[in-house]
Amino acid sequence: MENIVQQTFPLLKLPVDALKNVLQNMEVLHLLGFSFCSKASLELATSVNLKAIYTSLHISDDSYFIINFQLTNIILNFCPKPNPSGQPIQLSELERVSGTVFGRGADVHWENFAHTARDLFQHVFSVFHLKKIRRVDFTKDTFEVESLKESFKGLEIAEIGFLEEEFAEIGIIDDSIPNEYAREVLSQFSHVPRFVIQRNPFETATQARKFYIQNLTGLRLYDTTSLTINDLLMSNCSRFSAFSSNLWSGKVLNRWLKLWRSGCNPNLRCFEIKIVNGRVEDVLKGLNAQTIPATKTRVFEQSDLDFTGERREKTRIRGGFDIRRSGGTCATITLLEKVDAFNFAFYVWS
Amino acid sequence: MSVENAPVVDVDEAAIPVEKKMYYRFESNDKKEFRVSELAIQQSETLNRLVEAMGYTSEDVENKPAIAIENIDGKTLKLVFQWCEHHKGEAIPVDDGSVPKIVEIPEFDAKLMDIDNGLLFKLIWAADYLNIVQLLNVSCKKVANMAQGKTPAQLRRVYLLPSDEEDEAAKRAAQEAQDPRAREVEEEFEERKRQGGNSFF
Repeated sequence: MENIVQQTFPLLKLPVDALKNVLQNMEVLHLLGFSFCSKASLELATSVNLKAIYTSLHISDDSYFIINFQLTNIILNFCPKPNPSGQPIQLSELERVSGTVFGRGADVHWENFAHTARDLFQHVFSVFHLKKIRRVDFTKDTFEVESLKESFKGLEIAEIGFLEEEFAEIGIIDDSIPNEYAREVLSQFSHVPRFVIQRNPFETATQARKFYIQNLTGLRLYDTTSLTINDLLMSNCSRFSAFSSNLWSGKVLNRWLKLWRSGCNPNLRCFEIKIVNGRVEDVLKGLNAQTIPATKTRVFEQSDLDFTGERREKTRIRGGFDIRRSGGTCATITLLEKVDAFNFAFYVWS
Repeated sequence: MSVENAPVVDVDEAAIPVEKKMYYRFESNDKKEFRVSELAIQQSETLNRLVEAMGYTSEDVENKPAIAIENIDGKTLKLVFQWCEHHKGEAIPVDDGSVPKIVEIPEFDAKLMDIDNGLLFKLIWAADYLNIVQLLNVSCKKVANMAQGKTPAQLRRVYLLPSDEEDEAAKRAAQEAQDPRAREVEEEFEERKRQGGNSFF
């Protein structure tokens, strides 16, 4: 006869080392589930010292965490109650959480989860000893921004990206995220130091400059149709990367470089832009740049730490052209010619 | 080798070891006696140290009383020694600190641990007490596997985990039992706080 009485096991009555051994033997997702049993179980799960390397969060119709560990990665989906109206929904109480371990097939499905998204985020941080969320990617205006902010309270986010879901990697843009929604996110999460923006959400230059003027450590823009030299001059960002722009040419870059030499953009450490239909020879005119042979390689270290919070990002620069500003600060320009465009990169040495 | 064929024998079954190796006699807390090979004992750090310290000869083993293991019963000890005999000579794993642990349960161990949770609980206690690293690992893995497919609410039931309210109540009860005066002071303090007092004194 099938045993319909579920067997129980008095876990907490085990000797301390055995209890620790059981928890160390649990699959990552089961340990997370265990942490939701009580405050004491959260403390126990945390004491196992299972450290994740980094995590990223994907916000869409199907929202999920990716959590990377030394030996495994997990995906953790979370679903609040759906909103039939199609409007952004409040991210608070979660209806369902499900998780998968890559390549291990250890799935969990927690129906009637009865915890809030904030609880889930806090547990993920505590149990896996995370310091920050590497990146939050928005591909849809799924959740009310205020409720998102509340859910992230007390957690550090290293970067926010607005990307079109299917074609994010190749930079194709759609209108999944309304501009107004994107602007609200930028405003509510203004403490986040880095942003990746695929489509310009600003309706006026004033709106854009209000954003650029923030002390960001990184900004990557894919849609730069309205990016002007004045926008860059207004920026306090230390690493500015622009995919391409028709408003920029070799001459405009040359003008900006001269302004930099006279003291503009003092916080800028790195600027990259792809110039279409521009002439490389216009860039260096009148700058008295010193040519560095291609055989000489220098390593440019970003001042901010990478996503894991442990290493500095490094770029190897071969050759280039050095210029100096009045205070003696040196910068290197590299120009990489393509068929119908060239890549301009500018590195300021500290 | 199957669980049934593991070379642990009860003395009352009068099994005599064929190999000319040193065997030790142990007695459980319910007076069951076991003969265990020297090599099998090496799986247990506790027993290995004990027999080393005692310095028994073959004659001592036969003439002196069996070594008493007072806090483990015969049923559990039989499982322990079956496991030790099956795995004798195997290297004892060293904990490299990696989490989650990578522990596979071999077929023999799975069959050996095809027991009710009460006995599994005793087996883990015994493995911990006798410091049998790999037996502890596999038995704990079996308990960890009980979490498979469970929601947090189900885990609470399976592992008999008290809720926060129950934990609080137990903590209060323990405090009261330990020091009734402390409770009185706490209540007085709470009362003063309710009345708006800033200081207890």
